[in-house]
Amino acid sequence: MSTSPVIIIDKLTKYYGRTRGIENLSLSLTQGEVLGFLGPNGAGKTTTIRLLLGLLKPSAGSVSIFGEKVTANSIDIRRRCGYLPGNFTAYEYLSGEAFLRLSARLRAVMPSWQPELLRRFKLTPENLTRRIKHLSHGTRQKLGIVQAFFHQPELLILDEPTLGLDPLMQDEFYALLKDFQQQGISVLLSSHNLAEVEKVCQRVAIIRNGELIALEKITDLKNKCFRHLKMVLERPVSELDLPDAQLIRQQDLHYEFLVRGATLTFLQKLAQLPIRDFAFPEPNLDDVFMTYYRENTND
Amino acid sequence: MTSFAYAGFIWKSHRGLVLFSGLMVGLLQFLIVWLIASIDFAPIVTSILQQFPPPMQAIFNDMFLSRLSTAGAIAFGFNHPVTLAMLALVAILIPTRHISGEIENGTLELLLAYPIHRTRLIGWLWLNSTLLLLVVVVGAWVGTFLAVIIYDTLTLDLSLKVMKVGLNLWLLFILTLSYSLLFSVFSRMGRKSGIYSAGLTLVLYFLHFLTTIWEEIAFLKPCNIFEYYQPQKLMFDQRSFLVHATVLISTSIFCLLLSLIQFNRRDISG
Repeated sequence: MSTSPVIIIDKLTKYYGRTRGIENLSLSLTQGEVLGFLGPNGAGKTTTIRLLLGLLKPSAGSVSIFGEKVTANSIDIRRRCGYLPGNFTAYEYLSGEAFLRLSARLRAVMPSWQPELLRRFKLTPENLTRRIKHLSHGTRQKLGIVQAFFHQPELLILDEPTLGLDPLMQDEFYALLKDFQQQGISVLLSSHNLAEVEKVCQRVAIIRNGELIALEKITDLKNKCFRHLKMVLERPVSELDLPDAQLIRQQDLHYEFLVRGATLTFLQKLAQLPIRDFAFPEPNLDDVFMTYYRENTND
Repeated sequence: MTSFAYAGFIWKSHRGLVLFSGLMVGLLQFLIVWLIASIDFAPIVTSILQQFPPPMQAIFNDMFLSRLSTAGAIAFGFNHPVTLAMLALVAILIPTRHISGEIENGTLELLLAYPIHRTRLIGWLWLNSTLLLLVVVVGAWVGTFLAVIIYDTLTLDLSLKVMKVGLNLWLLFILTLSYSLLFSVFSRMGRKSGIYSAGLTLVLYFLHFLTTIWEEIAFLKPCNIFEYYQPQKLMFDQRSFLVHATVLISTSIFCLLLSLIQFNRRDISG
């Protein structure tokens, strides 16, 4: 699989009047990679995605997709992309079937993957013949996923794709992403669901107040982040000095530390303590997220 | 294929309204021509007018008696508020629903993520909307011709005049469509741009009525689009169709070009 960059974002800035959307955002996405794009609401995720698709005009900086500037050649780029907007809405007076047919005709493609996608997401003929306004939120979201994937795009841009899907369908969606990734399709997945990003992405970009505050592999991020160490000692100790650990709570012999990484010295020190019970779970992306937010807020 | 798909989508979205409007306008034309051709109103109107002082009689003679002919009835029908309202509805609804309305509900974001050029989208929307307006005008033509054939005699001269008035009506509402499109590409809310377009149309309509009865503001006439649609005068060869058509077409193209420029440079965000 080639590692040539599919998306290159260079110092991208977008202001809405005086309000900052994003500022100086630079990142890249390589072929076959699934990049998580994390941030709370209003952080600038959707602005970035709209800039990628040429829906917004950048105030400064540039975006290249498939080696072409978005501003110069947006049509060819969009032909090769699949897009699922956040809060997906379709023409409510159309039936699901008519909407998918219209999408295929507007894209001028044969929706070769459509039958497979309909089967995987359990979209029945009954679902498809009803008007979209009468469908549940989850079923509408499934339609959105089908229209984004059905032409086998080379790049998928997905904004909160599992919003409204039940857990079974979410798993089906993750399996679908894995299948696509194996075929070398690149995915930019915007989400504020940290567990989801952890499940499917290799790297994650964290955005806050319009600025990129981290862009790393998930494993590297986890190593960098704070972990919660909870332990109960057998007896009091005279000196409890653990390297890289900050005591955040103590009640009798119950201790709770915030630990950055887990160095050898730290583990050696820990081994010398009279520990009765101990919990030092793997950090999840919530911890990563909070670490970055805590650090940047402290800045 | 993309363009035809979009055209089909526009047609399917509005065919109900357009066919209903065409039918209503056609029926209205048929009824008006049938009434005037079948009943002799002239003695009734003359006896009523005799009750008025002589200067008033002259004015009302001009206003009413000329309309009691088939040509006058046709012009009256083509200028009837119901006909104008039906066409205005189609001309305002389509662009506001498909541009600002779709920006508001988020569907334009999805549409523009497909490989569709913004210029083409606006161009096809405008072109298809003009064809939908033509369907309504065709309704008026059909109603008129049917009534004339059944209740009067259709001459070549009358046919040409009816065609001219219909074309003039079509061009007037192409202009309404074009400035509605212009409001729409500047707006993020469908209802707002619809209200602006409808408001402007109403203001111009009433202003035109005022300028005909109030001499002091008659200088505003050339600035009013309704000045370039005078079916009564066209039917009686008192106005040049070409002048009307040139003004309406050039103003429509100007609005369309402004819409294209603005739509290409604007941000699309729901």
